[in-house]
Amino acid sequence: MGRESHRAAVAVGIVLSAWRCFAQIPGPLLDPRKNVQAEVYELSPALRSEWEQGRYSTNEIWLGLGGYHFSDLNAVERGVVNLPLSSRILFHGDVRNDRDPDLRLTRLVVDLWGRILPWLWLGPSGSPAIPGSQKETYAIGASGLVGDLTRERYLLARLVLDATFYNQLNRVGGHRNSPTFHPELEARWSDGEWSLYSRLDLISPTETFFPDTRPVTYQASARAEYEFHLRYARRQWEGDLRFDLLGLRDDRDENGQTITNRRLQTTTRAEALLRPNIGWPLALRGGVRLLADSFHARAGDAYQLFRIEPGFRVGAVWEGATNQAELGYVTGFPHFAVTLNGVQQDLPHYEDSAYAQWQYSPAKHFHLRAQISFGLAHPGFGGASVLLLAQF
Amino acid sequence: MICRGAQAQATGEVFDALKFIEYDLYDYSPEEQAAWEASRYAQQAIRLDLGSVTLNELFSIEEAQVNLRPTPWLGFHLDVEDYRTREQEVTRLLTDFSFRVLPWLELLATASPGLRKDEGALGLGAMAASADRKQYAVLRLLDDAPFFNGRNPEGGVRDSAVWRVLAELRGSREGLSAWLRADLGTKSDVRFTTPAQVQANQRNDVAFHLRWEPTGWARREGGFGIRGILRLLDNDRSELQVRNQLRRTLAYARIYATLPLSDLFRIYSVLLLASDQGRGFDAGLPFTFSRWDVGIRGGTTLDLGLFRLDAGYALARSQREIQGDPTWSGLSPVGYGDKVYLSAQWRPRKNIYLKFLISHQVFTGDFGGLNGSLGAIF
Repeated sequence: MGRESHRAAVAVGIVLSAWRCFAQIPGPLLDPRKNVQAEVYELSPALRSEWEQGRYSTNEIWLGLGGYHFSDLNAVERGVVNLPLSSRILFHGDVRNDRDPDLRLTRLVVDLWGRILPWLWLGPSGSPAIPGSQKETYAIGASGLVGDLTRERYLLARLVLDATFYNQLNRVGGHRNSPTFHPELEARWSDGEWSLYSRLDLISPTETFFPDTRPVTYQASARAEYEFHLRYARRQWEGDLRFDLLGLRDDRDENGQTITNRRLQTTTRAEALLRPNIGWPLALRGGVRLLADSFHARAGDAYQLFRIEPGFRVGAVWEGATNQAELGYVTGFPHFAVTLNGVQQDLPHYEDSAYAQWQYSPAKHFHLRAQISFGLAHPGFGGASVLLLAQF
Repeated sequence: MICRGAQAQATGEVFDALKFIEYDLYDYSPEEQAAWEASRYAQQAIRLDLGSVTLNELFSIEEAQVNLRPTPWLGFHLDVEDYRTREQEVTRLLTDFSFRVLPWLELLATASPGLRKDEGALGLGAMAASADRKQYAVLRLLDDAPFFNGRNPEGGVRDSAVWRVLAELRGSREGLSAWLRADLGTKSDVRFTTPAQVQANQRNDVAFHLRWEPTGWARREGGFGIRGILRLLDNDRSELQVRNQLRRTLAYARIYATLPLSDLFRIYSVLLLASDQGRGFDAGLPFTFSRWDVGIRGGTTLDLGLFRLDAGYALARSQREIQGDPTWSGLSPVGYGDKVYLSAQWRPRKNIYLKFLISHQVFTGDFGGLNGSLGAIF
């Protein structure tokens, strides 16, 4: 993506950054284009449902790379392994390496389950570190899976203690008064045309105290992630309702200054795909979404950022046997309300992206997608992405 | 293609007398390794291997490979690696899309997707393979971090491209198999302006395995062979006119023999030979070091079908020398290390195993460390 389009995309950021101290606000939070582009790069609801269905029944890969700005990427690298070691022992591995301009998550978790009942699997869980050399970051716990015969309908509960041996093994003199609990719940249910998926991933507040000789003497962090996906799919039409939530806390005492950051982001989406009976393999896609992002921070000055962003998406899909082409348009109306030390400023904005994509699915569960997009409201190249989703 | 090199100084691992014993003890057995080599472009595999090195550190291999063929002319290969030996740490995700142009020849479009635009690699390659894809010759040429300049958030600038050649070959005939993997790269020189700093890194890795399984021994996993690695590492960093550099050449060979005495018992022996030569600058002061190791490991395996028990003893003698680094004054020119160990394995299916190992140092009387591993080819 070129520098010119980037310049247009960060217009709000430039305005806000010019105001005293807004330079403290991380740039991506002020980027009006970010969510529109993320929406373009999203998995289609049908592919997302396929991913959810295979989480505990098969092996999966999901690789996606999309350009944001001159130097930033939206990257998704995920893999799932479900390996029956015997009829009664199942190995499950889940690796995730995601990055967008302001968030990054890397995690590997493995479970070794024994089949206690035909529908119940229980066993130890662990989270080897990446990179794997530091014992202090290893997590240990246990998990259980309730599932039907194919494990396409399931309920997973997992609890691990993150960095279980941190106090004994860390090399920077850090100390934690209590363990970090990392519970996860994940469930999928389907019946005929309906499917429902939900995932909750929490990391309990973790306070770490460091020696006074270090620049950071105190750090507290927590994380909460929730996903919900309700889907109805039949030949003539598909409908999807999704809700995503992300909560983050990151506080620290650094060089004698107390810094606090709290963030809560929610996205609600409703989408539909209609296949009118016109004799052509043509489908129409439409969707609306509402994003809310609140960011509270204190670092010398106190500031709050609220971002409300409604938006919609329309598209036309040509569905061949192995090839699928789509032309579409995504727009967003981000509204920023920024408060600095009690003084408030509102900034409405408008962003959009027209996109074209081609999806090649030579096998039932093997999909390749290439995408290109252009900004219309702020004319310029919007970005490109590639995607691989495979089950095997 | 991320590689974190060792610190630009002679750290404790350089003279750790146990290091090469642990490299051998925690590694996969020759039979497990040979099966993995044959599967590299034919099947899926996972290997997780974690072993104690120090109180804080682990020897760690986390690997996965996927081989998919959605159509006869299109293939997909994925390699995920996160391994850490004492001198380097490599984290890599490599993907190949292969396009069959002849029954035995495929052209490769290769990428190592990075999470930032200044990371990753792009390249092309070719693969010749047998029908079962267990014999292969793969050659890739990659431009490492092709978009580094201008996109590196720390403002680093590279004057020239960094190229990597990845080659992997395997051939087998009547019980004899040979495998070679080379991961070679040109030097990466990066200049930073604030603070003024120059970083230069280079990594070259070659690994090989030559194995012979006499007719009739394969079922009982007996054989003879040699496994080896040659590693050249260069990490150079200059800041405020102070230079820290470590250039080292590490060679490690293991010559092994596994003799099946019966369906129940096997005995094995391994001769360990290692050399580690290095030089560089520590805070501007030049130093050199060298190390030569010779060791032996012997043990026996009790094969109970689903379960295996293994016990043995390893001993190594290390001849070492360092000049120019006062931290190591008084270092004994000869060091010894040993470990006695016991391991239990569960093998529910062919090429799937869970292993646990515990060890003890006889010379020092100290605890020798634990090792756990999972391997699966499916």
